[in-house]
Parts: sequence; structure tokens; C-alpha cells
Amino acid sequence: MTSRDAILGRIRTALAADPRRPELPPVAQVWPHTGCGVDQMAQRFLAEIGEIFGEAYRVPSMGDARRKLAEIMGQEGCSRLGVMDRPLCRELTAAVAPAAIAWPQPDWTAAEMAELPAAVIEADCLLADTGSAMIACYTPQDRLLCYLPPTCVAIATADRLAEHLPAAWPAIAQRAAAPELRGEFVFVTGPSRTADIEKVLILGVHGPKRLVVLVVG
Amino acid sequence: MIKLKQHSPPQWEYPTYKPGETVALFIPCYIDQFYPQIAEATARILTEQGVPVVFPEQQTCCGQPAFNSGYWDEARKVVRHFCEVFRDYRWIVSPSGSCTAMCRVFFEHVDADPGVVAVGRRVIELSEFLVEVLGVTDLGAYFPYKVALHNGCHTRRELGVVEPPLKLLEKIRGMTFCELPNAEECCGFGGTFSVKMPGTSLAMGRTKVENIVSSGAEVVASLDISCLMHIGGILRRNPATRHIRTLHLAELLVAREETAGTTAARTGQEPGQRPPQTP
Amino acid sequence: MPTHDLNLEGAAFLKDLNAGLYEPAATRSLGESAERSSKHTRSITDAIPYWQQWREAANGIKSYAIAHLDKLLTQFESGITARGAEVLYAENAAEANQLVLDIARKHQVKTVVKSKSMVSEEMELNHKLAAIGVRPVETDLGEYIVQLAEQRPVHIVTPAMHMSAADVGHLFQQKLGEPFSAEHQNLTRIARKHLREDFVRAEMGISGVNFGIADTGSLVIVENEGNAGLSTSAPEVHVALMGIEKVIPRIADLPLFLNLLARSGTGQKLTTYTHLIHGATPGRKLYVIILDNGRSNVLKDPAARMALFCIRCGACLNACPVYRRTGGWAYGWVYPGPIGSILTPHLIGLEQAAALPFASSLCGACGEVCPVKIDIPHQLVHLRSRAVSEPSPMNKPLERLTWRLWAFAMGGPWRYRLTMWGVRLGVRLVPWIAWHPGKLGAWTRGRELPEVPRTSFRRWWRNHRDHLQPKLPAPEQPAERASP
Repeated sequence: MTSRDAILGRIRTALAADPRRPELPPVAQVWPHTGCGVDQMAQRFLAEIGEIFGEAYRVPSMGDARRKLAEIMGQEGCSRLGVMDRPLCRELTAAVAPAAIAWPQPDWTAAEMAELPAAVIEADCLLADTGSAMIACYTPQDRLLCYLPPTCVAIATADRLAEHLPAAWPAIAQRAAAPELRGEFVFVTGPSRTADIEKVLILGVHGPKRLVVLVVG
Repeated sequence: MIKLKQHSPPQWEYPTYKPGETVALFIPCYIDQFYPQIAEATARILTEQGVPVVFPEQQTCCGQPAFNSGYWDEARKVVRHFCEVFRDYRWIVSPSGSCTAMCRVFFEHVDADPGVVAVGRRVIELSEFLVEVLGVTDLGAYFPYKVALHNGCHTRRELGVVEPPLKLLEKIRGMTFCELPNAEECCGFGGTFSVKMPGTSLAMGRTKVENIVSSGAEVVASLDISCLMHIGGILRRNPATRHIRTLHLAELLVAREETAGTTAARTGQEPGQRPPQTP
Repeated sequence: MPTHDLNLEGAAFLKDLNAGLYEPAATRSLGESAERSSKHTRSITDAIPYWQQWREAANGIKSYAIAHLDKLLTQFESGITARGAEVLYAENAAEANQLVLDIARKHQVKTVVKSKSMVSEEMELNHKLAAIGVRPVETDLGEYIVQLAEQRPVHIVTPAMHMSAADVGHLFQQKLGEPFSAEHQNLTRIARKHLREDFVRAEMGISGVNFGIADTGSLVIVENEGNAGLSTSAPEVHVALMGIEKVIPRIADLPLFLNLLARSGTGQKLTTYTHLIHGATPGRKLYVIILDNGRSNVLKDPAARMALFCIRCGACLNACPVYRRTGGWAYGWVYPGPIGSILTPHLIGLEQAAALPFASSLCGACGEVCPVKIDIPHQLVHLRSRAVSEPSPMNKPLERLTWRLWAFAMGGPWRYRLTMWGVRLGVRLVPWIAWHPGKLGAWTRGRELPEVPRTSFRRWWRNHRDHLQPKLPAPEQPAERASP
């Protein structure tokens, strides 16, 4: 008998001895949906991300976003960017010198990617009530871009804003249910943080210390 | 029968009291033997509100110590006797939050018999009865001291009785209410816990005493004299805190301008030398 | 039956349960830290009007999940296998360790980076890896610190809560050769620098699992530092360790649990990184090891089932006045605090852990804060009833006899009065006995005994009942004397 059989068998036997059969409850409505508009959500998003020491800027056009990116690169002294191969990321980095852009290759190791000073990633969804950005990662390099470089710039359009996680969830859950999907969806809520030493909050312990979300539109 | 309206925090639905209905007093053993003045006060308070009271003399205990210690068979025997004694009374009032919780919340774990559970569900704590059932908050009490209120954990978390004692205290004339910091933290009594883990129990009690001292209170009142037995024991051990008295809320509620001063003498918790007494 | 050693090194308060003379020894900072966390979380949850509904809903979903555990596990297994993962089952710690070591050998692993996993603590995995020459590196900052210090974690969420910044500074100086600093920013930078080298070179990453989602076959890991993200994406191999009870039915349930866990665990709305992992990432290998290790014992005890609802948030620890004073090692095994007291006896047996459920004043603070509404106080009393009647160190015939006599005494008014007469006599005599042995000394060591009044209430009642005239209402409203 395999361990699998033994464990499942034990579980079945124990459960069979108990007459209780609780029903599957309906999906809980966690937060009410107020149906608020993009401007309200954007405002909330900016405020929330600020609370957790992230940064967000809402800009009217991609051109403004590019200028912001250049500003950030200047502030951080970045000569190189690791950029996710996604449409918005391509648009955002269109004005950056090709030599300064590193498009992660499938054979890139973590050691190589650790040299990148900054990352540009695409957020598929923004959550207004928590200041979170959902990044869909399909390859190891996508994932490492979110965690390794000390500065991380996420780009999204304003129509990707959702009130909160439950509001965004049906679409996300549907994507997640696709059996061919690989990688991860990571919800990033501010920069990396820890309070493990005397409960004093410190940013950038392993993940990025500086997280910037650019919201276009 | 008192029905549970909500689980967290607990809220109850009380039956309506018909004027003149008799109330049976459930007096926990430690009050009967060590703090009879609390039971006396309870009887007087209810009588003054026009409630006829009886004390069924066959009563002994609610079974809580055995139940909490895991001796459920033994607890069941005592619980069954309790139900025998109180079976015929529609109203059972007790000046103890923790014993009331045992009856109303935990009887069903000891004995699933619907008769047992039904009796348990008729037990009501004194301040609950006054405020939630009779709708009375002003008893004409006068107690010119600084008073902090200690909530026993079972009273707070199993019965959800937090507002009634506050409402009663508010109406006591001459009294200054002192807010107790960290009021929700356990005092460390916990029944047999106090002697099974005395080190931790004392550490918790000393923290409670620190909070009492910082509140500026001269008197600590509670619905649970069991907690106060432990807190008071610590207060009286230390000369610096010996002056802080512990009283059941009922004792405050019978204090009157005419008897001010004698209440202090009547609390009976005098420190220092005690002459031997013949049993 | 799994064999575990209940480490009584730090469990002095359990050893002394019979003597009852344990003095709490937790450092003040741990207690204060736990208290602050608890208050912070409380103020947040009090402000959410839906909090009680959420708890109720989560309790219902967990109740279903545990009642259908075998079905959900197999559903999860087939889902995540279809997504490229290899799923393995382990009955106990020894088997789980063997599986991990086999994987390590197969992939020629020399360094392992680990993100937080309580299951791996149950397994004592680090020792086993080290024994075959594989270097395990804890990457959660608190775990990293206690690993360097060769200590056990004191708290499931904040493992190094007992150490000051200066302590950590000395530790880094001693073990990492870094210049001494007690500055939090510096210390964190040092840890980041050292751990980054390990992240990029490690061949294997080991993580825990917060939730296994049955209908999609996904894994959920929540964290704040980014170390779980790195541990699970940098190395070639990711081994996820999951207790059987971690599976939840639907992906639709996740927002509820995330909202509860983040707030109860760390007072946040969402943790910094919430990973929804869809099976193996192309170019990486994913192993999921599903571990029983005594959890199915809980299922044999129908009244105890809710102990498996736990989502490991740590809120009960922070709320517990006993934990705050005795600290994380005092509970002897992996899980401290209230959840430890109600889980450890099932996982490693009453013969070893029977004392734990007694280490509580039953104040109920834990049950009040549990996000999945486990009735922890009732679980404690339930385990006490088992401990005194089943084979265990708390099963003492003499004690049972005492309680039998007590029940007899409380069985009728005359027996009661006789017993109380004896108790009053005893309390009167106690001050006159200079030396208080055993349990009696337990009370009087720090407390005065109550006064013995001259008369009992019974006697007073007999003398006064006829004088107690209720003030009847005015004649316009005739009183109705309802019969009892």
C-alpha cells in the first residue's frame, strides 16, 4: 500500500464514522461592490500605495509615462533595465536606448538577472483598496524580474483598475482556471518589507526597495 | 428560555419578566461560604425592585470546576443535581458571571439532555437581569469612591455581558469611574489554573494589579468575585496596594448615603493579623 | 504513530505542571511585541463591519473542506499534476524527509533556500539535509537569524521576536564576519547581501503552502519579504511542503481567506507578495509533498475536527496572556500558543503532550480573534477531558478520586455543608501553618487567602427570608403572583 493510499484511506475511514455532512457554502461576498468610477479608484489606489511606501503616478499619456521612467532611471542611476516582453512594457521603453534594455532570455540565470538595477513589468490588474498590482508571470524570468532588481516599475492603463480583490476576482479566477496556464499571478502590494528585528519596519529586504506603478489614462 | 441571538460577540434575547414572578437565587458555593454579603445584597436588590426571591436550599454547585478540569462525568452528576433543584423556576438569577456562563453556555457540553440544557438557559447574571430584563439602571446607590470595573473573561467572552455593569455604575452617585487599561486581559485566576500554574497566574495577576494602580482606583468592582479573590489576594499581600479594596458590584449597588463608611467596614477583607476562629 | 521528541528543554512550565511552581520566563520584549501586534490587529478588525461574517463564512468553508478532505486532496492532486507538478504523499516526517533527500540527490543539490514552512520544522528537515551534505539556508529574515543563532523560532510569524537589534548585530558579527551594527537598516542590508548569493546559487528552493486550491490545482503562498518568491523561482527545483489540511475547495474562496489571513497575521490588508502559482513554471521542476504527520488523528476525534481549520496566522499567540509570558519555546514543539496546545496533542499524542491543554486560564482571547472561528477554549477543555481519562501523564487516579468525592459532596445539601465546614476550617487554619506544602503553597506564595466570614449565606437566608418583603406595585396595578 502506498503512502497515498494509506493517508487517503485513513481520512476516508475517519470521515465515514462521522455522520455530519456540511454543505459547501456559497462563495462569500467579501466587500460590497460600489461601482465607483475610474477617477475615484485611481485616487484611492494612489493613496493606498503611498500608505505602504510604494509610489504611483497617474499620467495622461504614454509619453508622460516615458518621461517618468527616464526620471526614475536618472534618480537611481540605472544604466540597464530588465524589461518584460509585454505590449505596454514595449511602449513604455520605446524611448530607452536599446543597449540599455535587457529582454530576459529563457536561458538567463538568476545570477545574471541579479545584476539588473531595475525592472519594468506589466500589471494586468490594479486593486484600488490595497494599492496592489497583479503581475502575470509565465516564465521564471518574468517571476525573477518582480523580485530581484532593487527598483521595480510596473506599467498599467487606468482601465485595469478594480475596486478591490473580489471585484477583480471573477476575471482573474477564470484565467487561473485555464489548465494550460503556467507560472504565477503575483499580487504585489508595495515594496518588499520586514519587521523581523524588533518589529521595526524595513523596506527592500529581499525584493525591490522601490516600487513605482505608472497608471496611464 | 434565553435565546442566543448572535455568537460573536454573544448577544441574547431575553424573555419578558412578568411583575411578581418569583426569582430563584443561584448562589455559587464560594459566595455562600466566603462572601455571603454579596448574596445578601443580591437578595435585597431584587426585593427592592419588587421581585420576590427564593433561595432553593438544596442547591450546591454548577459543576464548573470539574468541567474545566476535564472531569466531565463528575461534572454531569453535579449539573444534574443543579437541574433537579432549579427545574421549576422560570427565572434563576446569580451574582456570578462565570457560573452563569457555565449554566447557559456549557451545560450542553456536559449533558445533551434537553431538560438539562433548558434549565441552564434560564440562568441569568444579576446585572443582565437588572438592565436587560427589568430595564433598571438607577438603584439609588451612593458610593463616593474611585471605582474601576474588572470584567471576568467568561462574563465578557461567553456571556457578552459588558454594558450592563457599566450602565449600573454610571448611575451610582458620588462615584468616580476609573478606566482600567488593558481591561480585556485575563487576570490570571482561571479557577484551578491559579494553583496548577501559580507562577504564570501570579504574573498575570500582578500585571492586572499594575493596571489597577495606574487607573487610580480605590475600589475594584466586578461581577465575578472569583477573579477578585485572586486579584484581591495579590493586592493585600503588598503593603503598597493593600488599601485598594475589591467588591462585588452588588455591594456597591446597596451602598447608601446613610450607610456610607460602614460599607467599607463590611467588606470583610481586612489585611494583617487575623485571630484564630473556632469553626 | 509518528515518533517525535517533545523537546522539554524550553518546556519547563510543562515539566513543572505537577509541582505547579513554574515562573514565567519570556523576555519582556516578546510579550510586549505580541501585545502590540494583537492590539493593532484588533483595532483594524473592529473597524471592519463584515469581520464576523467573514469569520463565519471561512469556518463554513473549512468545515466543508475538512469533511471532504479526501475528495479535495485528490482533486487538487490531479489538477496540479496536469499542470506539470509531481505530487508525493508522506505519512510522517521520516517519509517526507526521505522524499526531499531523494529529490536533492536526484538533482545534485548542494544548497537549498528555504522560505517559511512550519511543516519543515515538524520534519526537522534542516538537520536531515545537512546530514547528507546539503546546505539549507533559511531566507525569511527572522528564520535566518534564529538559524544562525542555532535556536528555535519563538513565534510562527515573527521567529526572532525575542532578540534585540543588538543581539542580531552581535550574531552577524560572530557568524558572518560583519562589523557590529545595531541599526535595523544596516542589519537588513547585511542579510540581503548574504542571502542574495544563496538565492542565485541554490539548486533547490523549499517552501510551505498557505492554501492548496482544489478546483484549479494551484498553490498559494503569502509573504512580505520576497524571499518565497525568490526561493521558488530562482532555483531549478521547487519543493512545496503542504499539510493535508491546507486544501480549500474553490479558487473563488481565496479573496475571503486572503482578507482574513493578512489582517489576523500581520494587521495588513494584503501581504506584500501573494503568489498564486499555477503548477510548474516552464524550465523549472515543481514537487508537492503532501504530509499527514498525525493530522488524520484529529479526524478520528469528531469533536476536535475544527483544530484542522487553522490557517497559521498567529493571532491566537499574540492574544494569549500565557504565551506572552512563557514564550515560544515553552510549548515544547513546533506550534506554540493556543493552537499548539490544541494541535500538538493530536499530532504527537497525548502520552507526550497532555500537559499543554492545561496551560491556560481559559480566558477565551484566542477564540475571539481566530479568523476561522476555531472554538479554541472548548478544544482545550475537550482535550483535558481526554487527557484525564485516556493514557496520559495527566491521567491521575488520585486526582480522579478527589473529583469523585467532590462530585459526591456537591450531590446534596448536607454533604455540601459538611464539606464546606471542612474547607472553612482549613482556610482558617492555613495562616497558622508556617510552611505551606504543595498546592496550598501555590496560592499563598503570592496571595492572601480570603477571610472566613462568621456565617454563610444559607444561614442568613434562613434567618432573614421572612423579613424580605418585595416592594409590591401600587394598588392600582394589582400584582400577579405567577406560580413558579
